[in-house]
Amino acid sequence: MELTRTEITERLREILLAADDRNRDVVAACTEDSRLVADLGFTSVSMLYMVIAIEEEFNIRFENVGVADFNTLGEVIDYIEAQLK
Amino acid sequence: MIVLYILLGLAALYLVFVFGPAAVASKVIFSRGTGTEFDRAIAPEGDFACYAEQLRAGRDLLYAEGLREVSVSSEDGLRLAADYRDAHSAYTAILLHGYHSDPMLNVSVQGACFAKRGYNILIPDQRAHGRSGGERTGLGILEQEDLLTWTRWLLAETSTRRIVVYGVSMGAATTAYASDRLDPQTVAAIVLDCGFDSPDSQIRRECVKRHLPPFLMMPVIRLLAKRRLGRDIRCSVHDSLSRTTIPAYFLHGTRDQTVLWTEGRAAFEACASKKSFYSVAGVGHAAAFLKDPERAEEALFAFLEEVDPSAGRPHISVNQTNQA
Repeated sequence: MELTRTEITERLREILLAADDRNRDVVAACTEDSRLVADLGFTSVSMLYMVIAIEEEFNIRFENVGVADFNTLGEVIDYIEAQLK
Repeated sequence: MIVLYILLGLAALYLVFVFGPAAVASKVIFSRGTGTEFDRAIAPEGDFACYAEQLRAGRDLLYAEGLREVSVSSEDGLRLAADYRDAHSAYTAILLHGYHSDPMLNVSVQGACFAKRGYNILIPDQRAHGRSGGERTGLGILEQEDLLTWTRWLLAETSTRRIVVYGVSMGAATTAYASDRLDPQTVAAIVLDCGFDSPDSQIRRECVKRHLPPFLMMPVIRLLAKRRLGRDIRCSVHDSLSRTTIPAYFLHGTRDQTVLWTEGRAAFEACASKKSFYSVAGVGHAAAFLKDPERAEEALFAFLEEVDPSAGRPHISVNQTNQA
């Protein structure tokens, strides 16, 4: 699957909304520097959902990494981009 | 004087644009279920078209097994009706449908799985749905009492000695609310399929979907619901689940936009009893069991057999139980 960074980001925004649709404004305004916990309000449950949804959406596997390894949205995008190459 | 006119104007605007719509919404939300018709839902343009084959097969098997109508009286005097299949078994599966839904649409596939394994089957029409009485649905809050009534009826009037309760959506919420009051000596397990957290959380989500401001609408809806139902709709299933000792099995589709996967997972985290979570990739609301029914059945009964060795085995008859 070949996706640009922008396309990955947009798909990730949809996943973030699906995890918690009360945060529409926050998700719409988020950037790659947005911190998952501090800025986007991620809980352990939403982190778990994000991993599952990303694996489904991009057909990749999170291998040898845990949710605690990602601090910002940009780091998640970096990982997805690397897995897709 | 001008201030008075401004206040009266604001009050009028509030009544017209907030209170009025919220009152109408409240009446509609808690109204009698008109039901999502089975045949329309599985038609080519229906929401469950891709599962038509499984749903039709499940419904046909249940009818072939011989369902008869039974009824009880609820604690508040309503007639509650259900379809019952008597396999003369010690084990009964109670299958609870969702909000404004046809029971066969929500639970026929699951019911067929239990029936094939020799369970008695009870499929109630929840209050204010189908053949059951009542003009108001309580989104699980009132229905929890009806579930307790049905369990008492089963134990008193049938061969039932052990029960598995399987609820879908509002049926799951009903089951979750009752989970700390169901008797663990008689209820072997509860199964919560895409259950929501509270009526409040669901209504709030619908407000957002329809571009209605929840911070204005919800206080009115809560107030009117308290008058109509006598209960606070913010009551979360987490409270009951955190006190239950009955083993609980959760199912949820990752693409569920009616009740988010994260909500189902949060309920699982809150549950205090032995539990398992079955996540189904890429499916929406009330479809977690339908995507791959064989795999879902295998996983469910593996859990049931783990918590009650007799619950997973086919055809546990009253005579066999007495001999054991």
